[in-house]
Amino acid sequence: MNGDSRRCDGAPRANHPGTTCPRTRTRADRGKGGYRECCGAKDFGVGDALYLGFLFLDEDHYAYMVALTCRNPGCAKPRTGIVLPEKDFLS
Amino acid sequence: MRSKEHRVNGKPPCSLAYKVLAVHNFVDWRLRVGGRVERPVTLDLAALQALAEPEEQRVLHNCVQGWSSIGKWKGLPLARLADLVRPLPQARFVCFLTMQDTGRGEPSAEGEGQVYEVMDLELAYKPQTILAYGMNGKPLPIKHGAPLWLRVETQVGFKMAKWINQIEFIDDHRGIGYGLGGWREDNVHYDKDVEI
Repeated sequence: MNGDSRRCDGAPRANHPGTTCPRTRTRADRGKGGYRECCGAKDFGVGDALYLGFLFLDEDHYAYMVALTCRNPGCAKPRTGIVLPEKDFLS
Repeated sequence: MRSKEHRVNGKPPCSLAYKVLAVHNFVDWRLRVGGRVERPVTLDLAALQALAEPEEQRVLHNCVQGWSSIGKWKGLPLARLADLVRPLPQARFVCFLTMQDTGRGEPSAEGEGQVYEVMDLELAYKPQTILAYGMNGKPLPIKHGAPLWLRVETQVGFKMAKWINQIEFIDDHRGIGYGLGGWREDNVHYDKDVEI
């Protein structure tokens, strides 16, 4: 985990450049719990994780949002995310 | 010199849309500026930052809550944005609309509706009034209002709206919210025209 590594340093982040996180990748591909409001494609690039717990009033303490970017070049809203508990993608 | 910590008031917007903006470093965030102006504009963060050389100010903030802190802020002078959109003669106030719509401006202040604040237009031209996107040498943190926090150092802290995504130049604020000039004015009975 590499906290405060990029913008918005009020919350720790975990960096997962590219598609190097297999468990997140699998979860995103299955579309479970994701936030995908545009084209319905299932091929995503996986980006940073943003810690949500404590910072947001409505989130569980162990919740993170993982950045997903749709690889469909025709997607009108490619940037999205998936909320995951820490245990599902941090080892 | 600056303080190690700056007290946080309020919690960020709970909407999924805000969280998605945040996890992607606000690439998709847009600031809409309109109302009683000649030239309404919509800006992304890079365009906003490119409008003018950033203004940096180091301020000792003494809060009525009983804490004080020295912070260094970096942002766009609001006057430069006004120069761009050119307020019409009818414009008398500036309304800052935020992405905070949970009806909760801070843990101790519960209310309802979208958080907003209104200030007199003349304050837009004070050199201490900036739209801050940086704090203490870093990008503005989420907990402090990312991507944009109004810093109007000639006024009290509650006027400094966080998580801004829309600015309207208006001639009358009585039709907004409960009409008292801000979310805290409407919900927790603060005074719009309180001064330091």
